[in-house]
Amino acid sequence: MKKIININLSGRVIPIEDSAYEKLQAYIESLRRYFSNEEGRDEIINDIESRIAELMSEKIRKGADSVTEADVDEIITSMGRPEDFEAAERETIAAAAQQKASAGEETYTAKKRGRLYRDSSDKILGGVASGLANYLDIDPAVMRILMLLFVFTAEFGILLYIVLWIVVPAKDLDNYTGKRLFRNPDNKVIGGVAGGLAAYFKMQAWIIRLIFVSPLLLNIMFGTFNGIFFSWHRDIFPNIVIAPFTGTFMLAYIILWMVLPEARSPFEKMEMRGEKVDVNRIRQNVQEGMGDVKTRMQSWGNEVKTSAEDLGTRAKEFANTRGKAWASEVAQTARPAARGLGHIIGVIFKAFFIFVAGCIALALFAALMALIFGFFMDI
Amino acid sequence: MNIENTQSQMRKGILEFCILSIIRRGEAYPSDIVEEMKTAGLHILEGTLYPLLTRLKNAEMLTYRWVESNSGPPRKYFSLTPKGEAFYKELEQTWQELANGVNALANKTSNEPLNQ
Repeated sequence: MKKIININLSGRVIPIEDSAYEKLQAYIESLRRYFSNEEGRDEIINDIESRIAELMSEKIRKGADSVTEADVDEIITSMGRPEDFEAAERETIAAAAQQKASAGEETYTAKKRGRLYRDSSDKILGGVASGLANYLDIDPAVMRILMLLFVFTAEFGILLYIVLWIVVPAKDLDNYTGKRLFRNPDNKVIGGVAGGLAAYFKMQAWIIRLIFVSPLLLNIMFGTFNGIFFSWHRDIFPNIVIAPFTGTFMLAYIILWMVLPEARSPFEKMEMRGEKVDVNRIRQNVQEGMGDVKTRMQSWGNEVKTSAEDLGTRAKEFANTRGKAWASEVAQTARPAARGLGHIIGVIFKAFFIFVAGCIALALFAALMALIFGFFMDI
Repeated sequence: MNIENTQSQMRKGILEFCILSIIRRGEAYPSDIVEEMKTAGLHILEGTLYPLLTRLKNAEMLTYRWVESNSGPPRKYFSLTPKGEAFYKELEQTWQELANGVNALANKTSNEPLNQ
């Protein structure tokens, strides 16, 4: 049994099998990625789409009920996959390398391992992290995180990065193929970081969220309970232990938000879950995924803004509806209760508001960071 | 050196020339270009043709016109601009020189001195 859907491709309505449609969508997405550097990308894709539509409606006109997977395969073969285009390009690169060799210059093939390069096809700053990741055969995003942590904590971290940037030669390296760390736009509260981590580690998103939020929560909890029980020696034990973690976790979240690309296409979502993708060899495009620092920061800034607004309205909504209801409930139960109990409920209530305020503060802090980065990038 | 590299290098260089020479004879629809090249024994993927056409169009070598088709939406037909015509002439000249030179070299039977 197969599900058949109607799609509108370049102005033609075409009945197509559900699975064939998915295949077609993946193919067009792979072309989009392949041509993303191209100036006339949209035009090329439109032309190809309308040609595909033409081929498909021809099949229908000849009496087929719907377009099948086999039809899509046939069309894809005649149009060519990005890998086929790429094969021609690779040959050119290899030929160029050979020319160099015959001219007596130093030469190495494009894919040779065992030498450290900076990856010029996938970079945020100098491509040092992605180059190292390629050398060690790990996910570039993971390498970037390690690198950032190293740069922020070690005294000579930045210096080392710059030295590597200068010393290590740049080169177009192959993409990392395997499970990759992404931000998950389908499962997000702020930036999708926890959702992406959850998909990567095959865990529940709320566990990751709890880990991120736990220092903040503990901080608030101890902070408020300090007010009741430990008011004579405030700030002695828990705050000292936990307070620094709050900042660290927030910073970690923001770093991840910046470093991790968002899993936009179906391919990236498959890569995120560690599923095998057969068009994996397509060059991960720099402009689409990463962009240079400036555009990246700008888009990140925009994202932070919308996310902060979203969070703000959500917090407001919460305070207005559920918060209010809860407050009136609390007030009702508190009235007949003893004064001490009322006090404790008041404290919990306070904690709740501090939490909401904390969330908003986090978002604002992120927005501020984006502004600062945006400012520096404009200079 | 492997033979496939060299072959694809050779083909790549003359691809634009071939496409332009087909379009020069009259307005052409991309898939007709592919067909015509196939009958001439030159295989090209349709997917590589579209970007080439778009590039040539953006370089003002080509222009296109929407032509109504009897089935479904209109199709894009490409034709040469004056600039494209001049570009083609230059390519043609280069091709002639190359073809003559290469043939002369490849068909020579022995390494006799030239002026005999």
